[in-house]
Amino acid sequence: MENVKPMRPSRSTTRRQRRRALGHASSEAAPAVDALTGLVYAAAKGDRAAFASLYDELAPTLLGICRRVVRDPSLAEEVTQEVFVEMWRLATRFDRSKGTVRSWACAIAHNRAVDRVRSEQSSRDRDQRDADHRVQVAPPANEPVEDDLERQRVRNALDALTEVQREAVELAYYGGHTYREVAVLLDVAEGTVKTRIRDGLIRLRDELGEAS
Amino acid sequence: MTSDLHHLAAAYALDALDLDERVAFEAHHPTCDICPAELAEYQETAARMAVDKVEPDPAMRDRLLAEIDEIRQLPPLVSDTVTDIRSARSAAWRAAAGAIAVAAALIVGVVGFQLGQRDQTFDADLVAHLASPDLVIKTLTGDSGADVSIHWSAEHGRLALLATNLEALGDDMEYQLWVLDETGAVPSVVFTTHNGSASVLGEFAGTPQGWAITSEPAGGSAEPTSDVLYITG
Repeated sequence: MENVKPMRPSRSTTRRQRRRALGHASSEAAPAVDALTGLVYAAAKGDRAAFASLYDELAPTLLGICRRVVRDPSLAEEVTQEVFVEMWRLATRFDRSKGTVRSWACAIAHNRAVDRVRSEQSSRDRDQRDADHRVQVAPPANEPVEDDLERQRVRNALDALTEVQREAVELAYYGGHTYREVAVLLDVAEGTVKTRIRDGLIRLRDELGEAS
Repeated sequence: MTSDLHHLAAAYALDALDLDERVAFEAHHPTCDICPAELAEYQETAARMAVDKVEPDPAMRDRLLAEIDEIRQLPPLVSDTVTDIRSARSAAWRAAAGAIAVAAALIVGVVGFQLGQRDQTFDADLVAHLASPDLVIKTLTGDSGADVSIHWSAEHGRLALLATNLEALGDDMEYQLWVLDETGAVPSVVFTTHNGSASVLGEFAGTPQGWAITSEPAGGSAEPTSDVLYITG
């Protein structure tokens, strides 16, 4: 018996590690998703430690979204903090049937970042930002890139879009522009941009679905 | 308007709508049979685009955790009977949604393919209608080999007529659908064929007991003037 006991933990650890590796490769059904959901449920009951863990998991991604859209580093941090406060308030209403925690959190972050840009920046600032965006389609330099595999996967999927679809989707998501603004920037009809965004996002969904 | 709103789901997921459209879409999508499932997929896709990771200043974590001490969480939404039914239905719908959407797309593809005057709005309306959870499908039979079906949603008071292999009528004649209820035959949509196919949407306020098709002078009639060509069994 004494010989058997020490074996068990190490065996189960191995299995767990294997499962985690598998989950990472197949992205959707990853254990991390369930863990995040569990953290939100705990946070909904007022568990601050769970919320702190949720923050540790998601903060780099959400700050990444805010930085990309609002550009200004300190403003991006301010918005990200607002996003987490909002997540704390709304944790009680998170509905797993409507999507993953990551999707929920990214949607709140992107929405907040875009709102901040639209309400606070003057039109002159925005013109400057548009110019910035055209030059800098790549992510901000000198930031640590942690998940190169996922980045490459998304890059490949975006490259699978037609040029005009990719342009419309990127200006909307990364640039934080409305489709009407995208229409002005690209000098095409609004309806055309709407269609490009829709077709582009469907294509992107399919490409990412196949890739994972 | 409704079909326009469906088309906004992708732009909504990217926060690319102006405020007026955003408000309109937010009012629409919870009541829609299609949009919530589509929107969830679009939002998952949008989230995948968030590949930049920027490490926050450690002080931010402390500030946040201090701040939430002062923030009251919203009360959870308490489900009552109505929302229970709704969410049960929407769960069942979500399970069936994929299959229905494929079937609807196939029908639209097959039927709509040949129709020159169709537009995207009509297609979207038709797909939305065919995805109605309470849809009842009735087949009409007649002497010719046409396949005619009525897809009826009592909840929306809406019908779709889908037909293939219909005979072409003379220039001055059109097909007319009749709703059979306790008052008799109530005139419904008038339609023509394109390469033998037809797909039409119509409304009806009452409770249909059956459906019939006649050929009528162009523009339709108030009462049937020909023999019944196709009728539900």
